[in-house]
Amino acid sequence: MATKMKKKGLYYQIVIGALLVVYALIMASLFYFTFVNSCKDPWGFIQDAVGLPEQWFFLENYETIILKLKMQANVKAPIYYIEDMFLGSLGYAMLSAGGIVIATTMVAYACVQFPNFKMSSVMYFLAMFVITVPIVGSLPSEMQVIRGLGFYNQLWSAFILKFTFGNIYFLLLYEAIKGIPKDYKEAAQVDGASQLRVMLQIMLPMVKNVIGSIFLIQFIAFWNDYSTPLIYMPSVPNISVGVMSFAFSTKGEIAYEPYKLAACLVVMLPILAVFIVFQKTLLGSISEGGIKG
Amino acid sequence: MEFIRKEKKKKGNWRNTLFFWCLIGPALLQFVVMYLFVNFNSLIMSVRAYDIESNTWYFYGFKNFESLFYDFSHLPELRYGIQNSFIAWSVSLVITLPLGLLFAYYIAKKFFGAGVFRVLLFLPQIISANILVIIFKYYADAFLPTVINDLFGTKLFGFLSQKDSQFPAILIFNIYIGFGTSVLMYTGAMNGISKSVLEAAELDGTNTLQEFILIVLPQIIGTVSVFVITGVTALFTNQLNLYSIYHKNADSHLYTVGYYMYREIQSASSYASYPKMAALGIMITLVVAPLIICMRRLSKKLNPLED
Repeated sequence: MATKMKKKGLYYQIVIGALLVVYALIMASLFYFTFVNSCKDPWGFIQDAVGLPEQWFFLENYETIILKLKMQANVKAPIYYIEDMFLGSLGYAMLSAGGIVIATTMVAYACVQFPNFKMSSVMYFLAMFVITVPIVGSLPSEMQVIRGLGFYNQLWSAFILKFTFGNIYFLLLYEAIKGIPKDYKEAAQVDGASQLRVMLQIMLPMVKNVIGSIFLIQFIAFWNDYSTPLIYMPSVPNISVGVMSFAFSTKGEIAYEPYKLAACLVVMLPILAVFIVFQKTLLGSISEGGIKG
Repeated sequence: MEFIRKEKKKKGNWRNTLFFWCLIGPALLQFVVMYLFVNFNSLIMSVRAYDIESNTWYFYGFKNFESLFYDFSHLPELRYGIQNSFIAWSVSLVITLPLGLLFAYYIAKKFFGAGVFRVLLFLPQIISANILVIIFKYYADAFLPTVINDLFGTKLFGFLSQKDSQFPAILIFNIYIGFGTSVLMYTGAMNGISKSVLEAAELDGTNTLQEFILIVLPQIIGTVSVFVITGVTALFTNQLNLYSIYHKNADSHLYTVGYYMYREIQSASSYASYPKMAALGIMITLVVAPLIICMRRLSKKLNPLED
């Protein structure tokens, strides 16, 4: 019986396992290729992009990238270096993720706590409408509105632009807040706590895992996002935008493949560190339908 | 006494109402401006044109739409764009989705190395797509051809620099990086299936593949349908990472509608090219919205448990 159980799924394991091993090998070879070639001199890369470098330029290449990687939106724009770009990306990711999380939490909380208000149903309907009925291709109009409101090229505008509640996380937060027993709230209110205090000190701490996971997922997504900053705030320093323009540069002393690959690893490291630290929380928290508390 | 109680209740109601509006007010305002007005403005913009010399807008009727219809049949970028957008969507439906499900089942069953594979499949979601693209560009052009040529004695050149291999290479790259979130979600859904159901199936003598097809898939159809529907939403906005790979210089045979639109807006130096793009946006919505509604209805029929 035990052998039969063991045998069950053996072919599946072999076939799918082999595919996954191929996937893993490609991933490993991507990292090998990036690291090894980031330690070569430009001529070494042209001569042999597969083998180990004859002479390692690890410190030289990474030091060059950290000191010389820069971003300039246009000829008249200021030059930003790597620390500015990291700060810009951090600001963009924090503001955008913060915008989504705060707006979604506030609206979901209002809808759950005040079900008798007609606007609660309206807000719920609006969230559902945005999630289920796609209106795509409003980019030109959005650009015009953003320019008209003075949001163009402003880092702080990320918070306002992403202050949205029409997303899948609304449903998750709605369910999570709804799942909190009412007794806590009622007990606090009997003790004279205000609505704000009940929300901030009693209710939301109970769903802090859900809020934290949503923030983390959104933070990573916005840290990696280059298309939004490139189109709405091209002059604001951003590491994803900076590395992309560097990748297409053909002029300058560092416009060579080993430096470009070194830049990729430098940019990748902080977010990989975040991932390694929060890996269990992040992967463990994403489950059916999204995130569990 | 009754009067005081009523007064207190009134005061409490007033405070609750104020608190409620403080919670929803900012998000509602953002919604009105950045969603309702933006989309309304998109409609208006599609029937207007912009005069660069006088910096003024004027009524243009349906000429933006007429011009787009002309472009659909004459502009190779748009012709290829539509074709490639559908190819990319079909590939994600026929290859990425089934493979993702098979991988998720492998992980859910905790077969050999499941934990490691789960992290590896999610890794492309953590690393910036444009970083992966930069690495992939050199990998596909410098590393892979050399390795394959050395191993098999072929004479291959860079996959992204040869016209014939460019689009397949881009599709493969997008498949490769496209598993992360969906596999995690599918695994989560599979872990939620009642053990007694699986045990009963096992007692009935089902093999792994039968269990996957007959027991697991029907139970997670709701989660799968979410990804299928999301895929339709992205049908005409998916850029296939073309902007990261080729910046503004992708060959016309590689275009997707999403890339065409993003590139046009990103390169626009004035409002002049916006109206035509707004018209394109409306046309995309008119195609995609009914598709989504149909797919949602179909998904509800397949999954009666879905609310």
